[in-house]
Parts: sequence; structure tokens; C-alpha cells
Amino acid sequence: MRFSFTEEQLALREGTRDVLEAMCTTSDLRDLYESDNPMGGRSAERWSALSDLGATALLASEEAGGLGFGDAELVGVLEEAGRVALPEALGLHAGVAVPILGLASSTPAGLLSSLVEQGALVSVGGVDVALTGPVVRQFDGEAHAERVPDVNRAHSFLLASASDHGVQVCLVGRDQCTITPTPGLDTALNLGAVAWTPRPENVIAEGDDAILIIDEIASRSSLVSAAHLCGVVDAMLLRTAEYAKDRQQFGVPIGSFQAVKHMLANVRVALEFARPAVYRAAWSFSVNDDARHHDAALAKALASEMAQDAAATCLQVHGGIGYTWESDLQFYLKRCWALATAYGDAPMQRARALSLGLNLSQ
Amino acid sequence: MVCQISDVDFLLTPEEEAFRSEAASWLRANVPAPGTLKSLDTREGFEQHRVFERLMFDNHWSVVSWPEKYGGRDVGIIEWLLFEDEYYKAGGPKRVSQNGIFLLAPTFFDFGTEAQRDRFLPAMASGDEIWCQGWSEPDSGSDLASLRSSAKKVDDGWLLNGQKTWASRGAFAEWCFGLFRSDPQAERHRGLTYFLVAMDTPGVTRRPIAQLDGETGFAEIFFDDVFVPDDQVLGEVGQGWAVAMATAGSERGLSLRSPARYRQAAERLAALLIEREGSIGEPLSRLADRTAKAYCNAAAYELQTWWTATAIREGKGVGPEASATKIFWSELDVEIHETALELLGPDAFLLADHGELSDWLDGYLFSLAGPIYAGTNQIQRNVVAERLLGLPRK
Repeated sequence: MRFSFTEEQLALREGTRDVLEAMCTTSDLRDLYESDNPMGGRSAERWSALSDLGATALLASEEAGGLGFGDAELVGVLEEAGRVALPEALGLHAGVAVPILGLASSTPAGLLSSLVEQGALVSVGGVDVALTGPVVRQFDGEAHAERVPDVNRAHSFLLASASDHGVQVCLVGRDQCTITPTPGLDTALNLGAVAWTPRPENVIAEGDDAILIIDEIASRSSLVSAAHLCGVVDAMLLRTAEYAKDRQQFGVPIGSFQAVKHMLANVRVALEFARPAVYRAAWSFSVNDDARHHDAALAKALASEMAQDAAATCLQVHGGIGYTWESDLQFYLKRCWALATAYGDAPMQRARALSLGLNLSQ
Repeated sequence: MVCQISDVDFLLTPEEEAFRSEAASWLRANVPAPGTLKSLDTREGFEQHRVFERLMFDNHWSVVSWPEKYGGRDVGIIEWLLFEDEYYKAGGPKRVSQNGIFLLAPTFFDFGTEAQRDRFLPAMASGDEIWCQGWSEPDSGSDLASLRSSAKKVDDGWLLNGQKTWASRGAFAEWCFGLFRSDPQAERHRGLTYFLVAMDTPGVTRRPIAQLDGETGFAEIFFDDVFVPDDQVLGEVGQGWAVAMATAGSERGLSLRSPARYRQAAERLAALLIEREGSIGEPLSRLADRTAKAYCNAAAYELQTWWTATAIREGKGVGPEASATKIFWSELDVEIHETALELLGPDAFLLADHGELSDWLDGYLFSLAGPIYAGTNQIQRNVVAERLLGLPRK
């Protein structure tokens, strides 16, 4: 029994942090928010830096051009992505699409290494997480996915849907999809609806294989969003604590008031307990432990609850300035709101964790 | 899928597995059946619990992480957690010696002399000498550093005077560990000394305090020119605060509250939910949601404990994070029991056959003390804000 990160894992994380802090500043985020071009700012430059670092292909085998690392490395990198509120869908790409393409038996040979080679971003869509398990969209001759992140940047999409004979998972190039932007409050996420007509050559899995893979997609999506949220909350909390030290009222810093201290302490406590759950879930995926679906639900339940509370608290502590467009706090608030509800909100995920944990499914 | 195992590893080693199964089989065979021991806050129950401590000691299970010469097995923190896990699974009773073995003993290991350890640890481990804690005073609760009980130097020892209160186990314990002001000129955290006092020393008077449940779990202790020899000072004279904070770290952090306790309680709660409401389905009922929340928090507490245990084993100390831990487990305990009582409905507050408290009600009353003792949760939130987030003290 050992539950800790190695020096190498911490070093990988530090390296990612250095790159991201340089390439994803709050002024970069602001440019993106204020630009008409959803691809604006330094997005392409950032993605290629992440590719050069190997962060986008952490979980790909070395034969496929990846680093051959595990999910423990991945969640550390994703926390760093969260700390800068990274717009690109690194979690879905590196933590869902890449391992699924490596896993699926009918992934065409050389596909993954070609994607890695090109530094292509693969986004993921079509799977919602519900209490009794993943849910896919209906099929009416055409397949549909909603709220797919990074529709403007993605090279291709890993998509799940119902089909004429059950369910299927496809890898579809963006030129074969109809993409309709459906921006959310967090415009940096680049959400959109994707419609496609499945073709045999796109099918990664169908039938029972697809059911299993959709399960993996659902739980992995929960895990990567939980890891991202831990980073977002960490950065937002530090930023807010700094603000509480600087901002003076009644002649003293507002952070000296117990009412303020206790609110921020609650966020710190939630973070202290959400992180190990994320790390445990990462381990479960890395060894393909049967508990991984439970562990992912637990991690997302804790992270979503934490993020909702953290957003409310940090906004309140910032006071009026936190409510302005001018404040950089908005990037973190909006990410918290978006990801706390996506891929299963807290009440659903905790009920799912309880059901799976005690084998109480109805 | 890439399955490289990084350095996170939840699999037990064969040695850890063997230890766990040996503990499990001994406990299954020896833990008293539910309901056979009276409350440890009664004289009779106190003695019954002491008998069980003795049985554990005789089989080297009472203090597994201690050195063998004091009655332990010299195992590490992971094995200690495994033992605790099995203890709660087996339905083991509350530990009557917990103030000694969990709070004071780590302080002996860090600050005690060899002679003190030899003298006190074996009797503590066997339950022959049960300890209570003499810290709080009527005017010094959360503000412990304002304490006024005094220690005056005399030949070969000290004379203690003053009053301590809220001493858990104080009604029946044989020994007391406490903080006294040994330098009358010094203020606040300075000039305090940590003393070990036999409760039968002339000048010691105890007055049991009845708790919410009517039992006398804790006591006031009066000191009237109580002589304590020099070798019953723990740590350096004047360094009592540093010694006490080490004890407080143990109390708030890992060593007092095994995660198995909360996981067992959360699982009982889930069973109660199913009994009352059938299954967990959508739309989620309010109490199903509360149960799920309690379950998740208990699971989170367990994982954070393994995380902390690994850090401790690798030589990293537990700092102010212990305050975050204390807030979490104490509020989790209340959350579990409140939810159970809500599930039980109006019957929850009825007494059982011989006027006794049901397990859930007893557990509820017990849980309510958690956010108060070991430093109130308000003080802990100050510690988290000041020491983990760097907010100003004033």
C-alpha cells in the first residue's frame, strides 16, 4: 500500500505548470473571451506546446508515439490545466479519446500513432452520465451529440450514439460532421452540437464492445473533469485568499474577519478531501480495477460539490468586483459552473457512487 | 489500455494481507457481542471495557504500532489502519484507554524520557492505568493559552493548584495529563509545563459531570496543593505548549479517528435507507441524497487518510492539515447520525427497553461533541485559514 506521487510524477507536473503558466495567462483567456474568433488567441500555439511536452499523448503507448504513462501522471497534468482554466479539451483528448482508441480492438492499426504524430486534437461527445449508467442519443439515420467541447479546434471526434443495432462508437473527422456552435457561459470551452452519419470505416466499436467502451467514456469523462476542477478550485482559492489579504475595509484586510476566514477554510477542506479521491480513481483506471466506475463517480461527486461551493464563496469574498467582466475571477467561476454540472452533477454522481459502492443498483 | 502502475498502489503486500487476516480472525473470536458491555461512562461499563483492553493487551492487539517491549507489535501506520479497519468491522467497543493510547502515548514517544516510557506505557497499554486529559479550565476553553492553573516549584517537585474541566474519562481514570502555568510571570503560550498526575494524589478532588445522556463521561478536577515529583514532568519545564500541540495534532489528525468507523457507520446508514425507502432511484429522495453524501464523505475520508498515512510513513509530518481533517471527520459523524435519525422519524428519540439509548441515538449524542472537543471547529477553521491559506491573524 502506497498512496503518493513519485519525484518523477511531480517533476512532470511542474514542467507542465511552467509551460501552461507562460502560455495560458489570464490575459490570454481574456483575449479569447473578447475575440469574435473562437480559435483566437494562442490556442494553436498552446496545443502544439502541450504536444511537444507529451501531455497530449501521456497515455498512448511508446509505439504509438506517446509517453506510455498512466492515469496518475495524467491527473496531475490535468490539475495543472485546471489551475490556468485551460480552454482546450486536454482532459477529453488525453484522458478519454487517447486511451479509448488504444483500448478498442477495432481501432485501425496506426490510427492512434498518426493522430499523435499530427498533434491532432480529438474531442469526445455523445455520452451523458446518469444514475444507472451512461446514456447515448437516439439515432434517426443521423447521429447527434450535444455540448461537445472544442468543436472549433477538434481535428476529429470520438462519438457514441445509438444505432440501428444497439449502440456504436465512431471516430469521425470534422469534415464528415455537421457542427453547430452552441456556446455556453464559459465561451472558452467552445461547445457545439455535432451530427454525423456513421460509416463503416468510422466505427471503433459496436454491440457489446461499444457498451463497455461507452462505460469507459462516461467514467473517464467524469474523472478528467474532476481533476480539472481540483485545479480550477485550487487556483481560484489562492487568488481569492490573496484578494482577502489585500482588500481593506474598516481599516483591516477583509481576510482577518472570521466570517471570511471560515468561508474560505471550507473550500480548503473540500479540496483536501476531493484530491485523494481523484488520485484513487486515476489509480483504478491505470490498473483497470473493477472499482474504477465507482471511484470516478466518487471523485466527480466530491469535485462538483466542491466547485459549486467554491464558486459561490469566491464570488462572495470578492464582493462587487467579482461580479464584473473586468475581474479575472470570471474565468474560474464559469469553468466551475460548466464542469460541476457536465458529466454528472454532484447529487447524481454521489447516488451513483453509493449504488455502485454498496451494490444497491435498483 | 496503458496499464503502467505508477507509484500509487492500493494493493496490500503479502505481509500486510497476513497481518490483516490475523487481526480479523482474532477480533471476530474475541470482540464482545453487541450489547454485552455497559456504557463506558458508567463505573460498571468502565470496568467491563477495561477487561477487554486487558484481553487485547495479553494478545498484543491493544497497541499494535508500539514497540514490542511496551506491548505492541512494532508495525507501521498502514498496519495500524488495517487493524482499525478490522476492529470496526468486528464491532469492537469504544476504547476506554483512548486518551492514553492515542493522545498521550505519541507525546511520550516524542518528548518522554526512557524511564517515563518504561514506567507508564505498559500499564497504559494494558488498561491497568487509564488516563484523562486535564487541559480545559472553566475560563479557558478554545482559548487554552489563557489557562491559570499553576505549578509552583518546591524541593524535588511541584505543587499544583487550580481547576480543570471537561476531562473525558475523568470520573474513573487513574491518571491525568495536564497543562499548568509554571512561570507566573509568563503570559499566554509561554511558561506552561506538561504534568502527569496520579488521580489518588492527596489534594486531587474530582467531581463527575453528567452529560446530555445523563452519564458521567467527564469530570471537573480540582487541584489543591497537589505534590508532583520532578520525574512526572513530560518534556521540558516551560515547554508545555509545544508538547501540548503535539498531542493536539494527534487528537485532531490521524490517530484518534480511524476511517473504518465512519465507513461502517455510513454503510449501516445505507442499509437503514434501503430498509425505509426501498431502493435508490430517480428522482432521488432528500434522505437518499443525504445518505449518498454521507457515504461519499466517509469514502473521501478514508482515501485522505491513506494519503496522509503514506506521507507520515515517508517522514513528512502532518501540519495544519490536521485541522482540516478534524473539521471533516467531526462534521461527517454528525451528518451520518442526523440522517439516520431523520430516516427513523419520530421514533428516533424514543428510549429503548430499559430506558437505554438506541445505537443511533447514542451515536448521535456522541457525534455532537465532536465539533466541540479537540478544539472547536470554529478554531480549526481559523487555523486552516491562517496557516493553510495565509490569511492574517488580525
